[in-house]
Amino acid sequence: MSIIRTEDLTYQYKVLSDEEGEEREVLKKALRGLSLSVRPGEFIAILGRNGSGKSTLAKHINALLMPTGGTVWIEGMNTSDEERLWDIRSTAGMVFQNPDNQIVATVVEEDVGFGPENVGIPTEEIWERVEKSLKAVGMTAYAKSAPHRLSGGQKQRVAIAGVMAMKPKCIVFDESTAMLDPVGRREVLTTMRELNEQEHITVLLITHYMEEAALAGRILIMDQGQLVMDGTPREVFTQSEKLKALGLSVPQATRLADELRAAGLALPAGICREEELAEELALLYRKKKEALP
Amino acid sequence: MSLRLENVSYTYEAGTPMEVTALFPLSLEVRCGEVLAIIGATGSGKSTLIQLMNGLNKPTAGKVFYNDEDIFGEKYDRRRLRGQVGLVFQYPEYQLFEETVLKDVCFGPKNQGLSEEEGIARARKAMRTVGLGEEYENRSPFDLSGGEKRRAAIAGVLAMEPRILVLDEPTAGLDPEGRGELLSELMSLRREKEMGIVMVSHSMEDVASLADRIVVLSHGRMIMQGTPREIFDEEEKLNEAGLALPSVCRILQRLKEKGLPVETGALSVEEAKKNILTLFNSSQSSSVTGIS
Repeated sequence: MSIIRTEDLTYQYKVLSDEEGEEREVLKKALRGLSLSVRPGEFIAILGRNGSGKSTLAKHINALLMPTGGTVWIEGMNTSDEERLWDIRSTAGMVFQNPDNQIVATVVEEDVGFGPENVGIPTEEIWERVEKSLKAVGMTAYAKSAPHRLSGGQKQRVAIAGVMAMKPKCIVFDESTAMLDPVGRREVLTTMRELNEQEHITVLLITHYMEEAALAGRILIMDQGQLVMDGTPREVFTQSEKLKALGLSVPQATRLADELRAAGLALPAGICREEELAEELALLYRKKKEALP
Repeated sequence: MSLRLENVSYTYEAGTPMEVTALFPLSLEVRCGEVLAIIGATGSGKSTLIQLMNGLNKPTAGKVFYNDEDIFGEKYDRRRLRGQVGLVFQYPEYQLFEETVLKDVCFGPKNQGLSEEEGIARARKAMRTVGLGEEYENRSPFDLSGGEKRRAAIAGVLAMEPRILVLDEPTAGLDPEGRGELLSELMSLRREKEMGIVMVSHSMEDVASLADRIVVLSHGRMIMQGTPREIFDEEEKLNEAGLALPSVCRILQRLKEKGLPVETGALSVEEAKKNILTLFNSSQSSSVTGIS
């Protein structure tokens, strides 16, 4: 069964438009008939230019928004079913962009326990969950710290632990690395991969960094409220012209590999990670060297 | 024209038990026509430093000179200074508030005491500079895309015709296209108007390819200052400061770790390509490398 499934998902909203002093309501479509299926355990990156509907889609997965057309199912639960709202939100958690807007308590462990406490989990179990969640994000040593003393990456990891404490099966990261410095970004990315690989949590990562998307197993690309590309990083990043037309780009490793290939080096197509390129180049270099008399 | 910071430091809530020193004494000069990048981990003092540049905050100690005049000297016109040294905050689009883009961009020049007409003329010019044509003038700023909003907000500062433009993470949250456009507009301001550009950034790739000079902050101290080539030669120091190498530098580093004698100092895809091709060409004859 899919963990996330949308069928013909549409979302429109009204805005007030002021044309020549005359105000009138205009309908805007943020999502236009989007159908999508995510299998449990996938690591998916969602790319798309500003305003393409990525965040609107994310908010539907967490039932923060309800479709105005079509349907969204999370583990078979229809997000329009109000009675299942809390089940849906604890199945599909969400981490936002600004770490400072997501922390509510003055001590890290209390912040992490806030979610489960709110839904009436017994105290004993809350502490178990807090401990396990902090361990999963590598923040156990900071359990008693004040969140405002942490770095951006650490705060984001606390926010992730808070989501983990709800025992979600899926986490949506809505540009959760955008405000972080390079080390903070790496910390959060490593945490995401570990949760995916070790805890089998389905990860949806919305990002503008192509290098981050290259780490995913599957990339979805949105444009004007629709899904326009769906494939592995290799399949997606070999289409640099199409990506450019969609306001996107390719990772620097891909660009460098493409340029080297154009200059005559026999590199395979579809390289998208730094390590991959370094390995291929080293391999090529040794092969050529051995071929020498 | 230049902006000079001399032994400036900044302490929040000085003299109280809550006292926190965000910036330890440092000296720095910003010249017109150059791009100075400020990099550092979250909380390293970058935003504190740039808020000293136009007198928004007064340094706890030390002095700031604009064109050799002490900006906290008696009778110094700091309001005029804020038009000369324009500050663009993080996510400046959250500060858009007027009904139309044109009105919003006019706000700065009008506040400086310019006439309505002159304000509009300058606003139009600033909008064109950031690639917002006439069709944007009467639109609501809230109807624009993320990249357009960001450019409208920057136009609001440009309309004051600053000599030095200071931007706090100008490309954060923008898609690659929006980012590319904005950066090339900033570079043309430097080239065509000889503007000085100070840019706080978390993107090592942008900084490596655009900056003339880089300042590295760590825990409120300036730990390095130099050209991109000098700065990105110090991987260990950068890692300690919460930073990283640009992607292409990392690829070359990995090659070197794998025992390939490659020249690692590259700041762009083009330079990395050259270094790798040199490696493949130099070690053997070209017929063997497969390079035509």
